Amino acid sequence: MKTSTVFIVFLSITIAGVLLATNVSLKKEYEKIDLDDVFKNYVSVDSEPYSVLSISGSNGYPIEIVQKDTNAIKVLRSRLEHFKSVVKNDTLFIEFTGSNISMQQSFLTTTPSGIVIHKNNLSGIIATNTHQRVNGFKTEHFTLNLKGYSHVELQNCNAQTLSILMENESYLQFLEHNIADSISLKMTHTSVADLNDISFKKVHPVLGDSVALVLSKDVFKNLLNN
Amino acid sequence: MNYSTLSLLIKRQFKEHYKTYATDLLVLLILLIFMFLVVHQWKDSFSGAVQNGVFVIGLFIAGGVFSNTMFGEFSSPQSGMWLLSIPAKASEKVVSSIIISTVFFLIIYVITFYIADFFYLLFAGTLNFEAILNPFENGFYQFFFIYLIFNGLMLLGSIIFNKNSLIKMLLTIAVLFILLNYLNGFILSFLIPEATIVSSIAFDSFLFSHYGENVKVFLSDNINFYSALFVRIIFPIALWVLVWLKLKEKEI
Amino acid sequence: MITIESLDYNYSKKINIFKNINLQFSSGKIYGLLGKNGVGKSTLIKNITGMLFPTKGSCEVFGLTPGKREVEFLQDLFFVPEEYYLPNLTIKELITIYKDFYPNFDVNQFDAYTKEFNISKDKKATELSLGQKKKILIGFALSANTKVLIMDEPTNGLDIPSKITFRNMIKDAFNDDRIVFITSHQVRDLDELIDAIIIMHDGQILLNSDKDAIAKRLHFELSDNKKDDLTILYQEKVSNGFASIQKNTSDTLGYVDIELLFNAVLAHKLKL
Repeated sequence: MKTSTVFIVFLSITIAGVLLATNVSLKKEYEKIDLDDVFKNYVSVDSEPYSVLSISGSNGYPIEIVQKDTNAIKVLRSRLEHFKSVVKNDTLFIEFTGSNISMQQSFLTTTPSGIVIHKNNLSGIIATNTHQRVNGFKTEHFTLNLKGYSHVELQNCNAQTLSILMENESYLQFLEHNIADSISLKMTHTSVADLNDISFKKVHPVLGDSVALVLSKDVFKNLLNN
Repeated sequence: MNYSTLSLLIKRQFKEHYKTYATDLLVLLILLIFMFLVVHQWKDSFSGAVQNGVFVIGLFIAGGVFSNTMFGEFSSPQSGMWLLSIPAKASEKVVSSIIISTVFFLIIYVITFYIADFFYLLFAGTLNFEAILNPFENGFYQFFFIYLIFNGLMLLGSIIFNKNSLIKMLLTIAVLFILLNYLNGFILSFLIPEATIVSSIAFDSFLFSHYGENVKVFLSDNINFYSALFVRIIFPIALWVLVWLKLKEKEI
Repeated sequence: MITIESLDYNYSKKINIFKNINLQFSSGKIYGLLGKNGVGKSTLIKNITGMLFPTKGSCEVFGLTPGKREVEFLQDLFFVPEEYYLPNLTIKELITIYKDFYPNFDVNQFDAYTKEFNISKDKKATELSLGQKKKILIGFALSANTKVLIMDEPTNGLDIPSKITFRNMIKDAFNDDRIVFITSHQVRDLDELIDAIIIMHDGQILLNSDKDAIAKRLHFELSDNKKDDLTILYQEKVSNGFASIQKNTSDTLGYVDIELLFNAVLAHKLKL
């Protein structure tokens, strides 16, 4: 038998062996998974305490930020390589890289959240080019700073004062029921804010030439009364 | 391994084929620009990763064709005998071909890609430093390792098959790939019969469905390191060793 | 020294090209391997040059196994196949690149050949005629000054003046350290050039002898009429009479008619 034939046989056996070994290992990992755990596709990441979130990277996977008593950061296992975090001066900087997608695609609900952040309290979010879904935050002061192609969806949030700073082509949308006593809204470039689902008492808008506001009839009346 | 022989062999390859390579380079540049324009129309299908898509497609098309020409002399018995008669070790002939079709090719390919990318970004009106593709970002560099495997297989094809080696080897790769996937799926379903496996990537992970939710299972970090070592380093080297053995055993 | 022992070569299990070939070639001689087309000459040569590997038996060239294609072996053996290849380079480039592969390559010797052939060194291989290409390849082969030079049907494609030039080139470049091995089915082309004759037929060696030894034992004669003499070993009609072979009873060494010898051996009328 030729040496190359012997080598091919040996290589084929090795490939089959490595395939079997990796699959046995995958079986072990499979057995570790708690199928009843809603976060079975996620890996917990530790972090030092923080009160401001600064997230940059891509909008390929939405980032879910929910107010909960327990503090936790969970990253989609398949995106773990794309996740980097560091805490500096009370701010958690997260870099979540990947490809950018269109706004229509980024609102697809079928895409799983790339990061799920549970936090008892948060004073602000700085988003650069990322897509956030902020849910259930009840706080006194909340700051939102949106840059690049950032998208933020706020849902069931309640704040006494809400400071919003929007730049570039950022997009803000209030969904379901949100309440704020006072809103400071500064928008520049071609940013868009959808204020349909927010109740407010006062608003202080500072708007650039090319910005867009999406308003319902009630919100519009409310805005005129201010 | 004699380094002066190695450099002579590399010099020989370039001197004998520089005109073809220059034409190929122009074709590659046009192909990449064309692909950018085509893919730009369907950029949403690429999850915005137009550059990544074009880079990978171009790398494998151009790299496959180029690697396949490394032992193109075997397409005719006369030139095949000429190649075998050159006073150099088979290992030196193989190593010079690997250097040309990996190191030199990748350098030239990356430069050509960025020229095409520049024109594309200029055309798309998004030319800025951040918009330029960084192949070392987000694990994209893994494609370079896959290219090494592809290179090994294409070199092998150019030695084993005398005529139409490109088509024959591409078909062989397709068949081997399908077989590997079937074998992987078979082993997984044998080991984990209770899981509804949706898809699997050999040596890496699998996806199973649980009450409509897809759950991905990855190798542990430790095992993943050894698996990656096998796939990215050991396997390409094993293929190059096989290329060397096949060249030593080549008869005309 | 080239030693071939009990050499078998099969293209497949069913197709046997030759069996149990035993041959020895020593330095300082020009060997002519004669045989009809398809008798296995090229296969034997490919076994010696390392292009094919023996099915059984062994072949050694100055102690090296051709099939291993070691650098020392390739540096000391140049093979000019019947259907040859020249890289698409100018002659100048060909020499610049390939001379360094052959430690004994003589650039001046090659330059002298190109002058003799009247071929410009700036010409590319694709711009040359088949005959010119062959001349360049033979010139390169001789200038490489390898210990072994093997040429398969070298005179094919050469015109009559070129055949004469070829013979002169071989004679001039030949020395006692070299083994030159030439195959041909046009036996007259090798007349006066070769020192030893090997006749091959149907994968078998029918004759392997020095020309001097043949001349010592056989006498070749051309006569107007057919001879009925019992001493005649072989006789055939030629254009200008009858050519015959008979035992050489004198001490003088006469002319060896290779074509007649070849025909006689193939007709199984001669056994030496």
